[in-house]
Amino acid sequence: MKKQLFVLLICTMSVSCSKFVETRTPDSLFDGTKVFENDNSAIAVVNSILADLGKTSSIVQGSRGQSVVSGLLSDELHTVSNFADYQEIYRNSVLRNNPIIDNIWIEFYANLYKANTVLEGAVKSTTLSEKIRTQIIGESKFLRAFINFYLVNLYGSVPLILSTNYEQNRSETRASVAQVYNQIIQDLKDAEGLLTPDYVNHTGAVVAQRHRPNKHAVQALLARAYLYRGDWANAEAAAISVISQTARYDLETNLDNIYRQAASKEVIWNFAPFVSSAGVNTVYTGEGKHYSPAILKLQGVPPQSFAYDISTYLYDGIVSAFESGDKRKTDWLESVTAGGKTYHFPFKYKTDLFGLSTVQEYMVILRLAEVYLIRAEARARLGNADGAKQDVDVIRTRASLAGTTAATDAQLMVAIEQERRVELFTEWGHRWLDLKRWPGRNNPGISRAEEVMSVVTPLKGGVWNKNWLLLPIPATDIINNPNLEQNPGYN
Amino acid sequence: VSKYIFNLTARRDGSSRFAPGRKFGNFAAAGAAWIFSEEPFIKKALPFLSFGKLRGSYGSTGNDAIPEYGFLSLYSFGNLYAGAMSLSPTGLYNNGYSWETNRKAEVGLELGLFKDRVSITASYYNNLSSNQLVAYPLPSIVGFTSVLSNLHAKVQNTGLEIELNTVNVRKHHWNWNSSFNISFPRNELVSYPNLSASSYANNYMEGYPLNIFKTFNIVRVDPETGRNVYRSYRYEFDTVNSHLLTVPSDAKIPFNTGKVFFGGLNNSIRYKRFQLNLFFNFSHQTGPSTHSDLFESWGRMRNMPVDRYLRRWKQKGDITDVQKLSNDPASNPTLYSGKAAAYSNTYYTAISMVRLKNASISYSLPEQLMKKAKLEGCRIYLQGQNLLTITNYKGWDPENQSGNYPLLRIMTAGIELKF
Repeated sequence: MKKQLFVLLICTMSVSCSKFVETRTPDSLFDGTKVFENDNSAIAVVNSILADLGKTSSIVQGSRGQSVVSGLLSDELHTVSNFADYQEIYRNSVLRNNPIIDNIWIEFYANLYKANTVLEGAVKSTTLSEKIRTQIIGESKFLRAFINFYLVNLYGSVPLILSTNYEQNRSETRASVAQVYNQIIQDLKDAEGLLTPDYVNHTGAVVAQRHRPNKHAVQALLARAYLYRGDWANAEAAAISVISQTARYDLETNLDNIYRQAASKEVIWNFAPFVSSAGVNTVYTGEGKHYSPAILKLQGVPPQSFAYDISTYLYDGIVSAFESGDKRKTDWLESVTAGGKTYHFPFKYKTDLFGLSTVQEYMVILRLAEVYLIRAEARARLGNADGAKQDVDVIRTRASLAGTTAATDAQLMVAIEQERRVELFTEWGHRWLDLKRWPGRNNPGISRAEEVMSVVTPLKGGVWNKNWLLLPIPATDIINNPNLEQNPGYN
Repeated sequence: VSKYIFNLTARRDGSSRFAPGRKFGNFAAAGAAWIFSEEPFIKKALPFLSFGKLRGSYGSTGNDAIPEYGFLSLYSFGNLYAGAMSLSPTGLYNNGYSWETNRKAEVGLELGLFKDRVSITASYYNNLSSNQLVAYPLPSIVGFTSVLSNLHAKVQNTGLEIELNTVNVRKHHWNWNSSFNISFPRNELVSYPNLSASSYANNYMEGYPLNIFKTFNIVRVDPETGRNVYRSYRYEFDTVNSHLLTVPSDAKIPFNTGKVFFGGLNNSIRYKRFQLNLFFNFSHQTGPSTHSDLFESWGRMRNMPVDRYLRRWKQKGDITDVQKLSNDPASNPTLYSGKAAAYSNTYYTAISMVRLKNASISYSLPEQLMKKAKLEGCRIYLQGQNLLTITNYKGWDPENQSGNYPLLRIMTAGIELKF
């Protein structure tokens, strides 16, 4: 009998092999352990939040941005787009998994993660300069508050994410609206103590451009947060700390300057121009690109086939809300007649993709006019009718209108609603957020939004329900975090 | 000829895809086979046995099929902001993962009978994989939607595979071969610590296969309202508030959509210059009864199978299993009751099928004729795919339940000339 036995043993000494399986950071990427070792790379993480929000097609500007989404949800915008994502928003019939709505949530939280990364990294680092450490902590706290402000206003009570610890955060429950606002106000108070009144660049050097939030940007957002919480006295105080900086801030007489000057005196914070893939600054903003009447001017028909861009125009209600002689109506609206119908467009941003105007424009996030209106409202609520009237009239005078005739607190609130509506239209969803936070004019038991939308939504072809005041949370987040509950009406 | 075969392997694998201290994994395998048909006493006792082999193996292997650099904390360069560079993290940082391991055990029997005119192969395998490398899904609130990590789950794949080949007729003009195979695969999530708190809480169940669908429980169609009545587990039994039901944790009834068994039968028959091939495949599984668009009736314009349409609830008192139709997708009860139906127990059904997958017949022209025509060969053939299906399935296609196109029936006729 012939036996064959093959035994093959391969013995490898791990010591000699180790070097073959060593890895170093690939050249195209940056070593994460070194990011917070020096000023330039540490602040680059803050820059990425600003660049992400500031790009022309982001969750805050352009065809999927705050002004468009909130404008479609409220009584500001119509759309000629027949795409379901847009139609759902426009008819207040958003379904779970609407990609535009999901993306707002996902990208806001992705940027919150970056802000938390900076806050953790800056505290631990021993090699950052004190100046940059202070700046990036201040900026990140401001940005965290800014993002949480929009999250809580769009989605209601949201999970409060304050660290990068995903093992812990992945099962986070929804915090109450009050808890979220407390955090927003706390972050803003911290940032107020850290940021300088001067505008600085990424090296901390003082610059004219207002592309990074300063101390007064913090105060402006703080004033807004207090106003939304009904803390009138603090809202007024925070507004005063901005308005009193007369050497730095003033209303523009030429309305175009607000959006065309990097250092306009009315601007409290604007985004730096988006850098295209070719490395060139784009002259247009996401807003100018989206609200462009150019297609109608060139083609003469409503561009239904366009998925998102250039597909919205103003609701008649907002057009007729302007009083005669209002300078804002002539300067900030553009109309085009096509197919026997006149379409009105927001025309605050005039530079668009089609080159009808090629003047450099900047996306404005915070401006002085809003701060005046915050103070007006806070004063009206505090019973200071004269003070409120003065602030409303500052805005009206700039628009070439006579002073308001409102005298009582209730009349003043109507005047303030009117002024906010025509001054801040299609900017940052002000109208939608205002409607949601105000009590009804006729029935204070419900919100102003319910009052207005129960009339407007049916005109848009939808069915109004107060559940539609809040947007749905992405369904995948509910699945991946069993502790998260969906907003009512979206289950 | 060897009668005994042994095979031993031990290996230490290193991969640059894992963090320092986790790069190396030790794996080993052992196998043995006995060709018992070579044993004299077998030859004497079982003369009809032309080949017999018994084999077994046991071993472990590692898997590092994940992207490079995953364990490093990395930042990528993004758009400039006001002339300054920007950096953002490329993902969540986790350097704690290492090799995925697969433990494989297999026994097999190979037999050749009657001078190999009949050959049989049967094998049984039992594989256990653990520490699976996955992009673990996370809610986007953590900043990213997944993190690369080892899953501390044990997944077992077992199965029996049988193959039978026979030469039924082997003559000069007349040749007939058959082959038959059948597989019984089974997959089970053996254990998953703390599954209910994980991101997979709504997808998997311990003791069940990975390819289950957890479904809502439709109790009946309410004769009064015409809407599905679902069983809610969070609230009380038998609620009509069906919109509560798309809460994923209310989906409790699992359906295993994996195949219970599948296989094929091929017959190849030659008579003189004629050649006939017939290939049947068959399978049995549970799957969606139609594709979901045809099944759900939640207020949008959709096609639906006629039998479902005719059975639908029409008026008070109707007792049926198809809820009423609606043209109002925005209304909550319609939407959720309708949508949930496609995620419900009634959506799944047993699917058995036998299909004549391939059939071909050909005729090769005689060689003498070819020589005259100065051809090397000429064959005329007719073949068809998906010619005949026997199934209990009411959807479009038992092999393609997704709702795209059913498999096409293809007929081809041709002449093949060789020069």
